[in-house]
Amino acid sequence: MHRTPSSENLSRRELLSRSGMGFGALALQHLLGESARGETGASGVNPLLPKLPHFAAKAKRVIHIFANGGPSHVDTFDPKPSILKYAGQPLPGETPRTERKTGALYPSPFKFKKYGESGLEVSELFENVAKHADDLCVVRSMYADVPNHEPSLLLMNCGEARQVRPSMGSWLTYGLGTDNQNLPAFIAMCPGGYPIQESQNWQAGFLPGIFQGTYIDTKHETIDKLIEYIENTRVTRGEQRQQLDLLQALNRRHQQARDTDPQLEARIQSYELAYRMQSEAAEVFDVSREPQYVLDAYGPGVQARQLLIARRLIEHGVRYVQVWHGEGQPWDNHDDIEVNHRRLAKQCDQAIAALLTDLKDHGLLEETLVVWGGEFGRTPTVELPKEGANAGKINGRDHNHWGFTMWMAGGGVRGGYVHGATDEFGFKAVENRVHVHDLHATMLKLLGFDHEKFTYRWAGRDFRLTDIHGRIINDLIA
Amino acid sequence: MTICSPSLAVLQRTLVIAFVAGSCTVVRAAEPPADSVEFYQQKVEPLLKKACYECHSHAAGEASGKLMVDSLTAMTDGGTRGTALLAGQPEASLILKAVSYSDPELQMPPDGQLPAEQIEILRSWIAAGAVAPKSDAPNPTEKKMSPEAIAASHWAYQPPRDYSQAFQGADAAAINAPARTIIDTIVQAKLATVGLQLSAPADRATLLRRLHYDLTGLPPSPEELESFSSDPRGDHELLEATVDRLLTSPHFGERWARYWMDVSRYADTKGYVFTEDRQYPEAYRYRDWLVDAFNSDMPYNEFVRKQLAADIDPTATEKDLPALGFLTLGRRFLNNKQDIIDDRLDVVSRGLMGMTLACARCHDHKYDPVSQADYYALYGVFLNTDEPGGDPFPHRLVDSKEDRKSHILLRGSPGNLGAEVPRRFVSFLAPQATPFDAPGSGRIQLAAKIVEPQNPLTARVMANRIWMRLMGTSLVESPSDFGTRCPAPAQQALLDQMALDLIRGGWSIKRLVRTITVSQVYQQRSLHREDAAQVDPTNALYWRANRRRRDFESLRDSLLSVTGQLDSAVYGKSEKITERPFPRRRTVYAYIDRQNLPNLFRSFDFASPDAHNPARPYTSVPQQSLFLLNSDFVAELATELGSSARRAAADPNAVNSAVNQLYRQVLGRLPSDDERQLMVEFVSTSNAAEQTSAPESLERWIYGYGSFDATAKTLANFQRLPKFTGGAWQGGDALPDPNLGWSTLNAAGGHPGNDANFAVTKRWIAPRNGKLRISGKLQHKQDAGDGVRATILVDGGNSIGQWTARNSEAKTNCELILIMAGQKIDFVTDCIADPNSDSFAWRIRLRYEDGGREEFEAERQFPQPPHVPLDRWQQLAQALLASNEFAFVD
Repeated sequence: MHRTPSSENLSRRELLSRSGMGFGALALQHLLGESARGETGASGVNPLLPKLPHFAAKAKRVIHIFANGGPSHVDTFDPKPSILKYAGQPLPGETPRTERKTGALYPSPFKFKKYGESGLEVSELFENVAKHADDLCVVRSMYADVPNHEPSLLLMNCGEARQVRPSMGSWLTYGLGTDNQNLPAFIAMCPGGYPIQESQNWQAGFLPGIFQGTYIDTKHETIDKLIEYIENTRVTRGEQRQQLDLLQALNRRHQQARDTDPQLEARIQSYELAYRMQSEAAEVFDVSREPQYVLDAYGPGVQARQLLIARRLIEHGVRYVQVWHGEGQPWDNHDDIEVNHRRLAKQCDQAIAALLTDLKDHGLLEETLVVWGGEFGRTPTVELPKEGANAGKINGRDHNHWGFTMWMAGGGVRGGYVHGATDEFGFKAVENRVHVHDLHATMLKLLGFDHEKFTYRWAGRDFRLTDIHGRIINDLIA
Repeated sequence: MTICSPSLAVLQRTLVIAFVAGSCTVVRAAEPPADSVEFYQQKVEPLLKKACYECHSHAAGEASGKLMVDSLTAMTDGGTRGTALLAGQPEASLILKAVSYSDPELQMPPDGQLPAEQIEILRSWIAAGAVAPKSDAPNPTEKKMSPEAIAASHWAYQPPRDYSQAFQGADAAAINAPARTIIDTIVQAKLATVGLQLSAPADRATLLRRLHYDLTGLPPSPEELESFSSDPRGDHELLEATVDRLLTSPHFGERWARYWMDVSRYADTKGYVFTEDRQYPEAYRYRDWLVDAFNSDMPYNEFVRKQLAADIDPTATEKDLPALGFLTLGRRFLNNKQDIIDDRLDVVSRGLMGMTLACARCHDHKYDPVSQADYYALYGVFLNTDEPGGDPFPHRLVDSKEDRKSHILLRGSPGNLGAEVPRRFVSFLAPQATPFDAPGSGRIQLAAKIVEPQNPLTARVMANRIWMRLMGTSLVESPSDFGTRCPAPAQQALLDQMALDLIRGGWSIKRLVRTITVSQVYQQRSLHREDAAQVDPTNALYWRANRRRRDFESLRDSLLSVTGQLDSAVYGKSEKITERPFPRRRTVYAYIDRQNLPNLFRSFDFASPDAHNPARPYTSVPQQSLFLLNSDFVAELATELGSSARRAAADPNAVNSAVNQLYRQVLGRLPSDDERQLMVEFVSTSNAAEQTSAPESLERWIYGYGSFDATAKTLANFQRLPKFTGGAWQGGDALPDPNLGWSTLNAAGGHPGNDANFAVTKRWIAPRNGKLRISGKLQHKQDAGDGVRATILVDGGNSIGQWTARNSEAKTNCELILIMAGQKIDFVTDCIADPNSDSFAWRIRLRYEDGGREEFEAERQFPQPPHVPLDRWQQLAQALLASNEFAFVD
């Protein structure tokens, strides 16, 4: 790729300087030897080759379990006895503004129990996840900016509520590349269709398109439905190998007449990568290869299957895996919260717990940052019925960006730890508040990046995932 | 915001290491007293620096609310709310009030409250008398350069210099070719300064491919290549004639319109929406306008004027209204007005002038002489522009009737109104300019300021874009940011000369394209030269041409073109190129879904339609290879191409010539003996057994027909329906087919053939073992004839259900069955006795009733690709289409 930096394409030098990673990382890569760094053998043409972050870090990969729609923290990880005590009474003082009108305090229908040595309190909805209490780093003082899905989803994923910015997975694959060139570096799984805000949740924004998340509809089970163009239905694998041998023989002759041009070599290698990807991807997505006890541990259903796929992807070197609960906004329970939250948690609790156990058993939890949460939480007050909404029922909760809970595990986080608190009723984060930008800054640190120096120059500015915000919450780090 | 040069990063890393090492042996020193200078230096200043300097310091060049907090004096002087600090009176000091979040109107820092202990540090420091070193005020000489000084010194803000005289006396001995154009003179002179010379001209075939790629995006035909190579005219005369011919091709406008669509972030949709229609149904008319503008060589100044103000521009007609798509076809941001205007300001400023105006939305530009007032002055232009909708172009604009005042929005926040600013141009480019007069939005005045010859940016930016497209690399580091962080290009003389030529040539784009393409510089070979690479490894000085991978559009268009499948009609509506039946139109007409752009586009480095796009990356990733190896689209093309070669090779003596012919058709030249031998070997070693076995097992649905025995309820002689029309499977192109009669199957249903030997059948093959539930509905809507009969068979034998319908419908639900992977379920429809009026619909649904609950639906999964195995010739054709020689332009 003989281009000056001016053409805004991706020479390695440019990637490094743009990402502020500088000569240190570059020099180290040379020490390790170009050939060891990836499969193309040619520098600067495959932007997904593995790269080093700013500093050594425990976390190397991420699984983000996205409970889209907004799970209720006061029904899951943030017990508030005062809601019960004052049940049916209005919230003292002014009720903070959320999307819709809410009324009296509405106690949780779910029972909380203490778990582990840390005595973490978790509701019955996540009784299996709770068995990992001492590995969980629970942030009960999360807050975002507005009580609406769209901006909150974008904020959680891209650090900006309205404008087009790269998602965290794109940032990380840009910064770290990926360890397995035979699989997409960043995968977003969501069964049945897109979440709200669609593929913008895993967008590359102004980063090159190759850093965009690859969407996979895990409703499907066969590989041809899961990954585009991964399967050839017209020639056998053996014949395709012969076809490739011919292609490469012609390509080599073409290349020899043109001396050294890394672009030509890179494209030759990309065919070999593609050929291997066919078998490797098919294998990784085929959960039936797992032993029965593992399948049993995850349990039945699509959540179990996609969480198990997530582990298999991580195991095979995929950098960033996002696991969405389902199309639209399943956790958005404006009514019938008891029935709906129970149903949703039942679909995933066992499998999330199994994932944590499984990662541990494979020795992967140390290097894998697991994050669970929604785009916001829900109100401790009951949502009032409104024409056209919740059908006259008074048994749900509204969106709540003022305070909510997320948890992390593995990847160097402090296990068995609860950070921050919401107020007496769970409405607003009041103690050690953690904004979404702060979470991002902390996650980047766990992955080896200084969020203030991890930048990409675009439209005249050096952009960051945290824009001009973000504080690292060192308490969350082990 | 951080500036990150590599050396700085190294320095920073070193500091981090030093800090970490040091922290292990920290000895806790005694706290300095709160009334000491040390307390300020060790406790207060670092805190302020971290929490407040970003927006309130000389270092950041920011004084939000006119307040600085980087010195005691600055804090005492205060900002718009008055003094921020009263020594000894913490409770009366605004700064403490702000950090303690006691006033909901005044909470600092805005993105989260400081920890209590830090607030306490501030409190005790103020209480103890706010002691600070005497000389703590930042040195005023460290202040940023004034906007005027920057405007007067940065290269891109000065008028382009005319070099045509300066090179008259260039050292003729140092250059190796007579200069054909001023471009050659300048480039050769520059090369001579480092002891280099131009490479030799490329051969004719290479040049013709290059010219076709650059001017039309399509490959020349083998015949064109041959007659070009043997043309008796001299090289130069021939090339000039060819450039002139290609410039008049209607495909020139298509190629260059697509380039401009990167600049103007074209899409057929609005991006994310709630419930409103997300289409821009008439967006394609903007594209048609662009194609036309480039083909008719509309002068660039007029081109810009019409895209900004076709509704007001006196030279514009109604036909020009689609030009306004430049402004209106951006993302809609859920109809947030500020964001829509910001997007428009961005496409105008970066797209036309290489100016990053959007950086000044929340504060004055950090590097360039662009103030926040400039931003809101231009914001006012679009604030006073409305979209009326309706005919004749729904995405048009008009000036608003009322006069809406634009205010600076402090920190970009709509709730934080600052001073009113009149609508006017960026002040450093028009210091004495008067505001754009009301009435009117000022769009026409804005356009005039952008394209006036005195504007130092516009012509340079466009000249660079043209050069970049033709030469493969940009002259400047950032094609859409000519601001102060963009150093003068190594070839500034060249850029300036081209900018002047553009203006002096009546802003003719074709004229500049011609000047570049007839130059020696353009026509060089692209081969590596070790001597030159030592001196200029990135070819920044253009000692050779750049080899380029075809962009997505040209690659797809070329695939269609060499296989004889291209529909070369110019203009028209957008088509979804990833959906069956695959459109054969040029890629410039692809439907661009901004929100959910198909991965295929992204894999091939297509310009993101989210915002203005300065330049594309060129990567080689396996997803590109997978498309070429495995996609139905490429397989279809390879099938067509390979089949004709196979037919030509029917006579064993014709194999060599068939290979030659196939190779020539794809790559435009005959293969070498060595290459031909490889290919002949390949086509003659087919492995027939392997060919027929595997592919079928991968299929889920097969559409065919067979002999149905109504008494035994069995199906025999199942065969595929041979012809796929894109909408249906049947005997041939037309119905009835001489052999298969009316037999046809489509997504929803079909029509059985003339008797029991032509019972149309959808065959489903089980992907895995499990419990399967089959449900559905059979519909027949005519009263004539005897209706249709539907039967479901397992493996051609076991019937698990049978129904008939005549002007009626029947539910076709079955008992739960156990099925093994690979077992076939046949959905057979026959005409009973009379094939008259037998069109039917049969909705079929299969569902595994266990863990996965995976569903299969005949309708939704139709049309399936014709999974006909590729024979050896077709595989060869595909390999050639996938080759590097096809994908790269030397």
